[in-house]
Amino acid sequence: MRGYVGSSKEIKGESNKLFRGGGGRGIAIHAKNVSTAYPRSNDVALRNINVDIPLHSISLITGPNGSGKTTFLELVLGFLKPLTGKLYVLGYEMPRNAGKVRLQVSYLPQNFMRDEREAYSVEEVVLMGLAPYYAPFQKPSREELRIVREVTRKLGIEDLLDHPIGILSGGQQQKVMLARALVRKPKLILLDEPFSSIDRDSRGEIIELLNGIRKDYHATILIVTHILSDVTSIADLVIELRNGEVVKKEWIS
Amino acid sequence: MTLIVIETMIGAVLAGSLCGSLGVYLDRMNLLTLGFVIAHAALAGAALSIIFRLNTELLAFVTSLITVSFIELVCAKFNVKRDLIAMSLFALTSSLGMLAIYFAPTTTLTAQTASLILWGSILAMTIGKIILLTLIMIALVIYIMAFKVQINAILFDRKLAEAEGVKVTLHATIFILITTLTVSLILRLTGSFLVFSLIYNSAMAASQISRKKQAIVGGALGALAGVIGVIISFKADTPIGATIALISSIILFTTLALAAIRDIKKRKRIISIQLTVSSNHQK
Ligand SMILES: Nc1ncnc2c1ncn2[C@@H]1O[C@H](COP(=O)(O)OP(=O)(O)O)[C@@H](O)[C@H]1O
Ligand SMILES: [Mg+2]
Repeated sequence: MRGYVGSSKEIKGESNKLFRGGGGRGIAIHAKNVSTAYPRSNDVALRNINVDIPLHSISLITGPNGSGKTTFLELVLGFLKPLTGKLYVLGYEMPRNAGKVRLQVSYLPQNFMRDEREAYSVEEVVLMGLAPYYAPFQKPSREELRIVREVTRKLGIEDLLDHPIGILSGGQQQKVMLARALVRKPKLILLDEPFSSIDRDSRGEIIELLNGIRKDYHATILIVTHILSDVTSIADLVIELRNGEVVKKEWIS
Repeated sequence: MTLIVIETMIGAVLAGSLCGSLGVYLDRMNLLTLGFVIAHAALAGAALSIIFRLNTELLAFVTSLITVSFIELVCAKFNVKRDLIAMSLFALTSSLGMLAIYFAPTTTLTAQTASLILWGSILAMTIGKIILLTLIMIALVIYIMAFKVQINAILFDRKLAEAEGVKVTLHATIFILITTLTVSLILRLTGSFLVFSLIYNSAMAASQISRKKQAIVGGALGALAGVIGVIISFKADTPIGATIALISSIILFTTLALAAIRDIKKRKRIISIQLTVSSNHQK
């Protein structure tokens, strides 16, 4: 069984077992002197990054446009290689173990928006998050369908399950993708500008939902955002990037 | 109907439906350029088979496979854009194929074989190939059903699927392999120059009709082009490959025109609704 299934004690035990390896006990993301660049680019996108993101924490990455926030997530997911330094995610060295790590991580891409030609229904899109765990010919179980209902209800999009995702508004689509990230029950959740097209009220609800997920399931959550304000209330750590470098690390107690 | 008509008809239906649905998957996975290269590398392989008097289908298959693997290797190692290297290899393999055909020993037999490879022939279908194409079709359907959720996730968003741990490269490789096999087997029916149009036209036509059932529609349109093409080719004694490609082009233009008309009508309707709503507002 993966993810949030079972009691939180079991999960804690399981994740501790994971941390015999690199990164140190209790650390979800460990970057030491990491620099990286995009292929075919002559510019260093991230320079000498040193961060330790604790397990079960909520961390924010902030900074102006082009400062390297999305690049950091691509690095964590193993899409980019560290040119210098070492990077461990959930105890695994990256990008060598990207295959293993990706199965335990959820990712909400930035600026997600499909036009009205996209015909997959909301339910189908959310269930796609479970695709990598399925054996050939496997269909979603009753339990999984129930979880989809529950997560979408919490996000206020349960009524839209049969709708094609393409006809929804940007904010609704963002919630669908968030639901997809959550049904995977990941150990680590990476959210890239999750509030960009979401109104103030929903933002408060989503922040509470994320806080609940961290508390109940001990997930580690990393949120890229340039609007700090109300998210800071649930954050443990704020990392500020500028021109590809960490300029500030602030612990919130 | 003689046996040869039946064989050609079945062959054309299988070729058309396989190409049509494979085209849809290649397109949605951003692999159409690779499909294009496969078709033309197969031409080079077939041309080589004339010179060395080897099995045409086998050499076409091997040449395409080597070309595609080379492209992927270069992309992985050197960060070159895939389309750039693919298109330059298309030019290289096609011209090598042409040169090979030109310099092949000019006996009647080879002259016939050369034109067969370029333009296709109704004599090319055999029972053996029909059985092989049927097996490929069955394998493709089973594979797509077995990995439906994974494939849908890739079609919806390739990068996100990869980030979530779906084996995107594996599935892309399987589609490329099936395409290479299919192209090599139907090369002498449709001709190597027109096989890509069968892949491309049917996939694009299907995209105008239905996005959700695009692969099935693409396969159906490809099969339709095959059937009509074979009938016309036998009745009017026209070259088979070109006839099938022409019909699939006509199908594509028809769907494009219908889609354009549909969009104009839809737009008019939406605007008129908006106008009536706002004029009611003013009253
Ligand atoms: N695919 C790419 N190829 C080359 N350079 C890129 C690519 N994506 C981003 N960059 C560059 O990397 C830097 C950081 O970008 P990004 O991480 O997207 O910033 P942020 O998410 O903080 O707005 C920018 O200078 C940007 O131009
Ligand atoms: Mg960004």
